[in-house]
Amino acid sequence: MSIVEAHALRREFRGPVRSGPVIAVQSLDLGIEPGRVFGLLGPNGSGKTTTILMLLGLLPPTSGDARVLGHPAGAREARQRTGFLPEETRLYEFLTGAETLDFVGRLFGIPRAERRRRADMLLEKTRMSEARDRKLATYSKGMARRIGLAQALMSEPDLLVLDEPTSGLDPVGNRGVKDLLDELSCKGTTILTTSHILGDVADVCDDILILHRGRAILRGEVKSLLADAERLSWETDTVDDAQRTRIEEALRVAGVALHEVKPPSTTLERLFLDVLAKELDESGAAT
Amino acid sequence: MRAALQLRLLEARRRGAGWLLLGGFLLILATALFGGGTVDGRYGLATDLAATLAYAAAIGIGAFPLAIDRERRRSYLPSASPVTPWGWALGNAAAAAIVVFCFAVTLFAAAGLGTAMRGGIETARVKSLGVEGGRMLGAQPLAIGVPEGTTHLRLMARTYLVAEQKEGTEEAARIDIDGAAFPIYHERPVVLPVQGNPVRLRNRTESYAVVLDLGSVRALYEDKPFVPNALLAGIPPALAAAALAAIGVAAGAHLAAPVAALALAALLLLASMRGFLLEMIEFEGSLQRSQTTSQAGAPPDRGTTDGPARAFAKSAIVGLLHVTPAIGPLDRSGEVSTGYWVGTARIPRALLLLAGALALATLTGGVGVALRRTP
Repeated sequence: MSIVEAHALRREFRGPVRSGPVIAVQSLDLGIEPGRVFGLLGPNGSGKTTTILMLLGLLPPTSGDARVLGHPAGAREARQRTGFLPEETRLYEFLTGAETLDFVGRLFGIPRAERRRRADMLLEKTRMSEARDRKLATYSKGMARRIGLAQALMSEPDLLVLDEPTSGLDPVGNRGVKDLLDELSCKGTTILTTSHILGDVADVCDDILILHRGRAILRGEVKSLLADAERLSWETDTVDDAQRTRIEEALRVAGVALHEVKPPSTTLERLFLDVLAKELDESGAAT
Repeated sequence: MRAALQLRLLEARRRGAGWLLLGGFLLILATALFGGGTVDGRYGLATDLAATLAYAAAIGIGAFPLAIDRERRRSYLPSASPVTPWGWALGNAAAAAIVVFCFAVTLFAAAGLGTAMRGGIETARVKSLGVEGGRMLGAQPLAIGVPEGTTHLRLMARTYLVAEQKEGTEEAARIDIDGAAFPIYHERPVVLPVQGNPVRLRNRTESYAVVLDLGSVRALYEDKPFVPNALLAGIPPALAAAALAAIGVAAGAHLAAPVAALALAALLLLASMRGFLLEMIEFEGSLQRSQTTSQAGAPPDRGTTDGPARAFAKSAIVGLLHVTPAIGPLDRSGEVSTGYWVGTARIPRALLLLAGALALATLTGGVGVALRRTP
């Protein structure tokens, strides 16, 4: 059984009288299997957030229907088992980080001792322990985002819905979020996420759906979609010129066209994280 | 509901409500201590200022427009959680009501404290005699038993010119209480001295028929400390202010701000026009009475010539108008400035108003969410 199911979802917004309604989402069918990380992609205004709000019951569809965790979208039973991080982290800035998590825990009816245990654990996971007693008004955008993610996890949800979770995060925070999502996915949590950052999606998502002007234009498993059946690449140790000539000759004899030979390069993200880790190690050793 | 209540109370504390409370307390205390005029006048000024500040706080908390947009985005958190919209709305409303109530009561306490420090004013306890209905006063005395220690009687009467003797009668209607005559005015409270027990009342004028409203009769007795008296007098306006805040906050938090604004405006309008509207209804009633009096020779009950629908509508309006004084300005001439505990008579009406406001707040809050979830 799918964790999230939607059939022929459509949402219109009233526009100016002459121009008629604006169609945000149309004819959208969706199915998310348990334990999968599902990415909803698309340019600005493609209907990603509208789709998420409809699935959470925060916005009614104009037509079509959606079920979440076996219940109609927005049903109390479904909300009890769903964690949500909105696109804009609008939290109560007069609360501290720890109080925010406690407040969300109370919304879900979690007992006090358990709220405290979960808050401590999530603050640790999101690297917010040091700022736990600071008011949210003093947080940077990235810190607010991380607390937002922590609050979405307070109820230990079966379904986690994240709208642009890595927006505003630095590369370290970004990596942390992706690692956390990997960990949750391994534990069986189903995740629905949107993002503009395609590299993030490729890193964490099992399945994707690309929206354009409210319509689904591509869907499938990430591995299958990114695989190139026409090409093959090997990665080897460094070779000298003589070895390289012999390999190229062997390929030519076998009738294989060689398109490109180049040393492998790391990603900018990897480089940034390595440099930062080295710097932290050295400053730690110095002290 | 509890989560919303605790969140809002914490918000009030963190946003400096304590400092505002202290500032208001000192301002009212200074007014009661150093304001010009007599002690009575200073107390009246301080309580008026307290009521004004309480209502300003209620409107400020309840209808602060900038908060609405911020709240609307934040409301994704509770809306996506299992909390019911009704519980969330009620929690918000209750928190706003508690904050404004505490603020108003503290201001009235400051007024009482300042006045007490300058010597205080005469106070007395009020007790209802627990009888209802109307009783025609005639030449024969009507005996009313009063509690031990009663010094004054506060009462209200309806006066009617007797049609056959209308010509040439201009002096006020008077009643005789324990042998001394005092003027009375139609449906206005009067405070009369008491000599013995039971009190004997009779009509001293032939030009007027006088009907005593037994439900309005209060015995004033036994001096009481002034500060608790002032504190109690502050409870009705505090409850009313709390009701206003509750409506605004809950509705504003759930995008039904226009409903809240209309409700606030309607209540304030009714409060300010109460006297005028009651006069109008009374004027119409007196027209009907004068028509039927000439035939029957005695004043009939109000509304006897109305059809059922008209009578129902009129009684509904009159009922509503009798609730609104709880939010209107204090009537210092007849009640609070003389220090009697009559102010507490407003408490049931103010409680009724608060209950209605909380219900309205919950309703508008819930409807606001429902509307947002409907295409």
